[in-house]
Amino acid sequence: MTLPYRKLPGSQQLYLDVRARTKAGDVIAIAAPFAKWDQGYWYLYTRALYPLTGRVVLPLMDEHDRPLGENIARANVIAAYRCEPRLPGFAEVWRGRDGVLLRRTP
Amino acid sequence: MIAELAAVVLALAVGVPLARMLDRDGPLSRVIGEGMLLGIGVCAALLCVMPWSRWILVVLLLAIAAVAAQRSWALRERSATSVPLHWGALAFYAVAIIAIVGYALFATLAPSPEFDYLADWGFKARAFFEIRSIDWQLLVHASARDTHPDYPLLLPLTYDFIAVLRNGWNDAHLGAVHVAFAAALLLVIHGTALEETRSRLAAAFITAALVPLAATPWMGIAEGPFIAYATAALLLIRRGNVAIGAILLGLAASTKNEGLTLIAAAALGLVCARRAREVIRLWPAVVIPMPWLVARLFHRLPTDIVTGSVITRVIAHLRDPWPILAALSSASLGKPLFWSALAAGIVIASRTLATRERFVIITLLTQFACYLGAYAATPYDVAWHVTWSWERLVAHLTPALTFVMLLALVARQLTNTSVSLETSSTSN
Repeated sequence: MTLPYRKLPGSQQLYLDVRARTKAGDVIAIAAPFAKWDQGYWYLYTRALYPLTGRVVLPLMDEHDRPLGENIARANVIAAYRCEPRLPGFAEVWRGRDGVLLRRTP
Repeated sequence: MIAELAAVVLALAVGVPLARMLDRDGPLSRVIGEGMLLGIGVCAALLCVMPWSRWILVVLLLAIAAVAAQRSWALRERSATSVPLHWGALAFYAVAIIAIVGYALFATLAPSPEFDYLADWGFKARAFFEIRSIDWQLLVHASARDTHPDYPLLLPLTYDFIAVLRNGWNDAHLGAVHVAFAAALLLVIHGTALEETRSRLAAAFITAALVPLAATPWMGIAEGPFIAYATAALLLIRRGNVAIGAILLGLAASTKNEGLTLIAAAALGLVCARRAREVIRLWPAVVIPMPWLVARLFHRLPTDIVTGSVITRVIAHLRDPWPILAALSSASLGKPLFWSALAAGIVIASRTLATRERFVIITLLTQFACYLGAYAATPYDVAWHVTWSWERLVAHLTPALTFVMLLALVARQLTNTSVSLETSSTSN
């Protein structure tokens, strides 16, 4: 199933790795180095839904490119594609070729 | 693929006796096609009311199948008069079967790559299977508009039925569902054509000609299932088989929202075809999608097309229709030879279509007008909306239109042949 992910290489494998390292009920926010919804973020975010079913998948940006900081507060996991966000209260728990996984520290 | 095949067998086991009860003197091929469509609907519906347990569902379905088989056996009537086999028909049957086998290979080659499968149909199915139930929280709090929480659930629940039989999620061969829908529609088309033309050659030709329209290229999304339900429903209502046609119409409305407007379009078609008294017999089409509509209302699931000020958008687009017209003119439908042939056939058979096929023509025109209305009401950029939907929407209407056009041409040909035969026998 690489065809729907081809514009962001590595994103499918990242999601498969994130799925393997999270459990049902986890709330996952998707971080990415895109400043605009229509210039990469929408593509990345919507393609996270299917491989991460069972988890709640939240965007960190809305359709009008406004950041959704409240979703960081809701999330207990951050899946970051080709970026390394430094967020207080989160620690890196896994690193792959195209992304990192952060989990909220107790 | 065992789970997919088991789902097809169970759907046939429960659906064929039901179809036999509702279409007592229908040709065997049509009854099998109807049975597949009904059976899939029953399998999906059971997931709304029963625990998602393989053995409970299998036992229940077999019990329903046994009762329905007993009832249908008791109600059996004359089977359709056998129509002699024509050698030319074998060639068309071979073409249709080879095409369907090729379609099956294509459909099961890989998981669906369609975006709408990942964000909508397949996503919902997989998410529901995770909790072994319809996930209302997911629908109510859907964070991506592409998830379309208001879309009906027959297709996701069909995928879930297979997952329940397998006791695990595997999307590798879910395309088999689309092959089953295409084959079911073609069987309905074949049976109806056979019943009307009394010619196996004509029925085989029409069936083979409609394979590309029934076997849609969009795997994992609801177009193929909707086309199967909607087209079969229209062909059956057209024939006077209103009871089963109305049930299939209801299942069409349980597959895609477009099915809701198709119910109104079919009612208008009946009125215009001077069959107004039969409109009331469409009640199953309204009752079947009703539970979902009530649940949708109860959970306040948003429908994107009616968000905001619909009237304002429609008026704005009517005042300046150029963006819609420009988008429609630039959207490619492909298949220029097919459209040319269809247009030529409609011109040749225009008199027959206008007189004998008023129900189908009016219904399709009304549905087409509804699609244009949706573009006028769209809250999105109209060019974007047209680009990503036009080809699929037109594909909803094409099989029924092509069927009545081909049938009118075949009837014309058969009439000419019988007239020339009568003339030659008279002169001899």
